[in-house]
Amino acid sequence: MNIHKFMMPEIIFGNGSIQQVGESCLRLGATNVLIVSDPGVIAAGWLDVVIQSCKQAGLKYTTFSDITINPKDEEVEKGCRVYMEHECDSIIGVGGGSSIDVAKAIAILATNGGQIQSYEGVDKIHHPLPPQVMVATTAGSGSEVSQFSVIVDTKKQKKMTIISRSLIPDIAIIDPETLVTKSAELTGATGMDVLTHGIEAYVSLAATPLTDVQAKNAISLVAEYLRPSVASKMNREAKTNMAMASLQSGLAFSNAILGAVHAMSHAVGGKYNLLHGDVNSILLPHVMEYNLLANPKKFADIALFLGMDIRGMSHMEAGRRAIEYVKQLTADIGAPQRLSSIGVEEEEMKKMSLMALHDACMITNPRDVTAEDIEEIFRRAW
Amino acid sequence: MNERQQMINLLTGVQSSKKSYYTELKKMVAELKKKNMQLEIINDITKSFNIDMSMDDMLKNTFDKLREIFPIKRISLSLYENDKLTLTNVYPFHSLYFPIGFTLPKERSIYWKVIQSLQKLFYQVQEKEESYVESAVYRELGINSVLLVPLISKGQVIGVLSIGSSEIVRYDEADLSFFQQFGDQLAVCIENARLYREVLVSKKEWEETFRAVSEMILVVDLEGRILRYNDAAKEFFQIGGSPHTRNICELLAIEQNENPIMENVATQKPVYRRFHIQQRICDFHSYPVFNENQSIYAVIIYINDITEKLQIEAQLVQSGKLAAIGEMAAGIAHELNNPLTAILGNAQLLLRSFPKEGRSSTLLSDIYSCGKRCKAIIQNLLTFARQDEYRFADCSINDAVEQVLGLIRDQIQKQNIVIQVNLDHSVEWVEGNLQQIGQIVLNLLINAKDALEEREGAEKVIAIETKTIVEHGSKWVTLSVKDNGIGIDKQHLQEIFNPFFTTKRPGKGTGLGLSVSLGIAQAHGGTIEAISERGKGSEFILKLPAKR
Ligand SMILES: Nc1ncnc2c1ncn2[C@@H]1O[C@H](COP(=O)(O)OP(=O)(O)OP(=O)(O)O)[C@@H](O)[C@H]1O
Ligand SMILES: [Fe+2]
Ligand SMILES: [Mg+2]
Repeated sequence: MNIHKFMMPEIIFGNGSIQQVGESCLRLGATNVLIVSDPGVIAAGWLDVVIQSCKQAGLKYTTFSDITINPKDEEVEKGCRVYMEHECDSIIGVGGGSSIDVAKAIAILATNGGQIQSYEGVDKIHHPLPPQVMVATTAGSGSEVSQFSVIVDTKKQKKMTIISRSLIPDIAIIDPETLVTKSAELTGATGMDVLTHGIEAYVSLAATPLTDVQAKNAISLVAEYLRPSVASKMNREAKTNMAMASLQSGLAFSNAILGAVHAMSHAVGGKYNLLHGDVNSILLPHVMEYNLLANPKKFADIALFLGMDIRGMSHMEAGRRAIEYVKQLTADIGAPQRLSSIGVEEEEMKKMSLMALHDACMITNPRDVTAEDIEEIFRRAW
Repeated sequence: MNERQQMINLLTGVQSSKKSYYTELKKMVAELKKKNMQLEIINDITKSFNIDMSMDDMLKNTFDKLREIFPIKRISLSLYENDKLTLTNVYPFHSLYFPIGFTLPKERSIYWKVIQSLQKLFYQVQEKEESYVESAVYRELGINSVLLVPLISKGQVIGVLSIGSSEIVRYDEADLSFFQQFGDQLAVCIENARLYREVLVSKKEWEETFRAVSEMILVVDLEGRILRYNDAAKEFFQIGGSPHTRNICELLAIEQNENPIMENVATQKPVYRRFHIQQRICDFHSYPVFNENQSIYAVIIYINDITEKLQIEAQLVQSGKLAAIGEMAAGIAHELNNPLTAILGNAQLLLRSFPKEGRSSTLLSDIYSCGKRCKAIIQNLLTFARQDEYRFADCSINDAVEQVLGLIRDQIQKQNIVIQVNLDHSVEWVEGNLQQIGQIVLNLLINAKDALEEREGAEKVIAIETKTIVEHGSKWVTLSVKDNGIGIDKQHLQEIFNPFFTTKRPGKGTGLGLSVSLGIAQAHGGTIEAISERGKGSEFILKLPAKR
C-alpha cells in the first residue's frame, strides 16, 4: 500500500494534565458540557477533579454516569436525552473505554439523531459532532485517540463497532496519575490489552511506517513496565510509562486497525460480561501462533521489541519466542490463561466464531481466517 | 483492488475525513440563504399586490432573486381565460419568441397540458424533438429544461408559469414545494390584481359620476372641514390648493353657530336650508353619513343653484298673472268695444250735423276723442295681454314706452307725479319682443311710482329717457327710468333682482318684478343696472344690444 493516512487528536500527556480539561473545552468553544463517566471513575474521585476544572473555566456542566463495563445502546440513548434536556454543546468523557465510547456515541446522536444502530459500520456519520474532550483514566482502551466506538446492541446481543473519522476526539488528555487508583487486576488486564493493541497493529495488513513506530514503542514499554506497574500502585515511573504505552498503542491501532484477537474478543464480550483485557490476554498467544505464518519477520521484530536476544534465530524461531514471552508475561502478572477459567462455555464457540468472522477487526488480520479456524483457536484457548 | 483492500481503505479512512463544522455551517448557511430568498420572493409577491406593482416588474424582481438560488434563464407567464391561453409576460424581455398576447394552440402545447392536468411538470428539452410547439422555442432560446407550474386560485386554474433553464436542473422535493407555493401566491396575486382593477374601474366610474354631476356635492367631516368635492363645487367655490384647510362655514359665508352640520350631528337627520351665496340662491341639503356602528362621521352636502329656476318660476307666475289680466281685459274690451263703437259712430254723426264753431261741437269732439282714447287703451290692453306670442321682431324701445305709458300714465299722474319723457326718436332698433320689453318698462315704472308714493313733500318726478350709446365697440339702446323716491338701502342693492325679494307689504309686492325684468333683458342679450341712494332716489337702466 503506497497511500496511507495517520490521524490523531490533540494530545495532552503528563502528570496533572487532567486539570486542563476545563480550559481545553473552553478553547473549543464549549459553554455547557455533558461529562460522561462511570461509577468506578466517580469512586476514584476523578469526576470531582473534572468538575472542579470545568467550574474554574466557568463552564456549565451536567453529569451522566449510568453506564456499565460493556456499554449498551440504551445507556447511550439515555445519555443523549440528558444532553438534549440540558441543552449541552460539548462532551467530556472521563474513564476507560466504556465512558469514552459512550461519550462518543452520545456525540453522534446529539448532532446526527436517530438510533445508534444506524451508525454501525464504516463512515455512516454525516454531520460533524460536538466538541469532544476525552480524559483516559485507564491505560488500555486507546479509545481516547481512536476513531472507534464499541457499543452493545442489546436486542441482537452483540457489540457494534462504529468507525468514523469524526469519532476521533478533538482533545485527548492522558494523565498517568489517574492510573494510581487502579487495582492490580485491572492494571494487568488493561496492560495486556495495550500489548494486544501493539502486536495486532504491528502485524496488521493496514500497518504503515507511522503506526509501526507507535506499535514498537508500545510493545517495548509494556515489556519493561507492566510487571512493576501491576506490582505497585506507588510506582509512578511504571504508571507513567504504561500510560505512554497505552497512548502509543492506541495511536497505532486506531490507524492500523487490529486483528483476530479483537474480533474474537468482541464476540466473547458481547456474550459475557468480562474484562476486555482478560479475554485478550487469553486469546493473544493463540492468535499469534496462528498468524505467525503470515509475517514471520514482523513477529521476529516483536520478539526484539520485547527485549529478547534473537541473534542467530530464524524469523519463525524468533516469532515463537515472542509467543512464549507473552504467555510468560500473562502468567507473571496473574492474568487468566484459559477461557474456561473465566466462564466461557464450549457450546457458544460456534456462534462466537461466526460473529468474530464478521467483525470489522478481522479484515486487517494478516492471515486469512475461516469460521473453522476461529473455532479451532477458541478451542485451544479454552 | 480487491474487496479486502477496499475494506481496509475504508477502515483506515484513506478516502474519508473528519466532518468539519465549517463546511457544515457553509452548507447550512447556503440552505438558509436559499430558504430566505424563497421566503423573500413569496413575501415580495404578497407585498407587490398592495403596492400595485406591474406584473412585468414583479416577474423581473422575482427572476433576479430566483437566479441567485436556481440556475434559471427565463420566466414566462401565460394566463388562461375563456378557454384561451395567452402569453402575457416574459422576462427577460429579449428571450421573447412568441409575441406577447400570443394565443397558444390547444394541440401539441405543453402549457395546455399543464392547464388540463393541473400538475406541475418538469420538461427536459430533447434535441430534434417536436412533440410540443414550445419545444422549438426552447431550443431556439437555449433552454434545456423547464419547470411548469399551474397557477390555481380558488380551485380555478388561471394560468401557467414556465421557468426555463439552460441547465438540466435537479429540483428536489423542497424546491418543488417552493415553486408550488410560489405559483399559488402568484395566482392569488394575479387574481387579486384583477379584482382590484375591477373595483378600481367601478370606483373610477363612480368618482367620475360624482365629479360630473352638475349640482355641487361636498363631503365634510363633523367639524365642517372639506374632505371631498366635485367639479361643480370646485368651480363655484373656487376650491383649490389644500381644500382640507377650508371650512364649509367659510364657503357659505355664515357664522359657525349657523353651521347646518351641527344640526345634522344633533338630530342625526338630513337638513335643508336656503342660502344666498355669492348673490346666488342655493338650496342646501346635508345628509349625515353613518359608519357601521351607526355613528355619524361625515356629512354629504348637496347644493343646488336655483337662481335661474326661480327666475323662470317668477316669470311664469308673472306671466300667469298677466295672462289672467289679459283674459279679463279681453273680455271687458270686447264688451266695451260695441258700446264704444256706437258712441264713436254716433258722436261722429252728431259732429257733422253741428256747426264747427259751436259749444256743442267742442263737447262732441271731446266725446269723440275720449272714446277714441278708450279704444286705444283697450287695444293696448289687448295686445299687451297677449303674452303667449313671444315672437322676436324689429322693434323700437320708444314704442314699448309709449304703449306702457298709454296704459298707466293717468294712474301715475293721479298721484301727483310728474312724468318727464325724453325719447330719442332716432334711437336704434332692437331685435326683440315688444310685449316683453314693455313688461320691463311697466315693472320699472310701477317700482318708481311705488318708491315715490312712500315719500312726502317735494316734487315727485319720474324721468324716462331713451338713447343709443356705444360701449366696447358695439351699440346699445338704453332706457333709463329715474325717480326721486325713497331709494334703496345699500345692503339690499345686491338682492333686489332676486326672485321674491321685496320690501313691500304682503299683497302689495311679490318681489318678482325686477327678477322677471332681468330675465327678459338677459334673454335679449342685455342687462339692467341699478343705481340708487337711500333717501335720494333710484335709476334703473335697461341696456339692450342695438340691431345691426
Ligand atoms: N325705483 C325703486 N326705488 C326704490 N326701491 C325699489 C325701486 N325698484 C325696486 N325697488 C326695491 O326692489 C324690490 C324688488 O322690486 P321688484 O319689482 O322685484 O318687487 P316688488 O316691486 O316688491 O313686487 P312686484 O312683484 O309687485 O314687482 C322692491 O320691493 C323695492 O324694495
Ligand atoms: Fe482493545
Ligand atoms: Mg315691482
